[in-house]
Amino acid sequence: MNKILVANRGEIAVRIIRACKEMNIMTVAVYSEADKDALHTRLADEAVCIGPANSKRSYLDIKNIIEAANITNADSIHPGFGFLSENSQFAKICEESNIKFIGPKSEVIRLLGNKSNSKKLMKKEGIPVIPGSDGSIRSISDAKKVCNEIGYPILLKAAAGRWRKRN
Amino acid sequence: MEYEKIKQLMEDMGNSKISSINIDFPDGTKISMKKESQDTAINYKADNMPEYKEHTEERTIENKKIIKSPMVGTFYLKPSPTSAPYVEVGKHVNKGDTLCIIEAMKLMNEIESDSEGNVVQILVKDGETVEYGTELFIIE
Repeated sequence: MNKILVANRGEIAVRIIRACKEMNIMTVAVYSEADKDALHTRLADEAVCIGPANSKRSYLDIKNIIEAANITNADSIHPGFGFLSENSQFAKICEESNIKFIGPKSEVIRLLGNKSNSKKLMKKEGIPVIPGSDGSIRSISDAKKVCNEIGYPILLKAAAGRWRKRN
Repeated sequence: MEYEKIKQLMEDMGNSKISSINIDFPDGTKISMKKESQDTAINYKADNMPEYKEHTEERTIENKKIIKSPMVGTFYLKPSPTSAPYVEVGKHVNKGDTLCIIEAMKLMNEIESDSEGNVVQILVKDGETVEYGTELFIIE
């Protein structure tokens, strides 16, 4: 790795850029118009504006971030956390664009993104997991059956994201 | 110091004209109060809250319009290396006319003019890289 593009902002980006400096790796910061004067843009060796204040059109804009890496000849992208760090599509595009994605392979992110699938996978590999349903629950009767098997308290979780309901 | 006394002090402070006070009591208790005046609060807001505009593709100075890049990529003035450029300085453009190409992720994106007028300046050279918001053309 010679030059890393940091696809994040704030203290996350600052921390990564500082680590790169210690390791003598060049850095590229990306920023939205709202973060033009942010510390991370000044600490990095180069900085590229990737969009307007709305992060959907800047820090989450895969095309602009990949292209920012291309025009600065960055060979790797560090996504930090949040934003595109758990986006398997982004990791995949990095792989296809010959840019090293600093993180898990896109396939791993894809498998772990869905909680039902990742649990199934862990079970298959013989890794102990907390008791729960095999895959998604699709009806109340299904849910009742599983609850009776595992006992209360239970936690109902969406397959993706962080939403949950406790009972 | 009792809570009631502190509360009383705060109220008195609010009614007074002074903006800050520091008291050191003999028993070691220290009290420091500062009043934010209305004026400074308003100024603070005005200085620190820039307005963000979503439509940055163009900016107007007098009668001139500046066309900005809507994406990160490589700027090309011509559809192919051997063709003539889309626009030159002095050329008249209409709304919807292609001004240039920005290559992003191997896709050629035609950038159209959203205003009518003469091209007075081309601010980026053919083949140069542009960021989001880089100023590309001035149209008058």
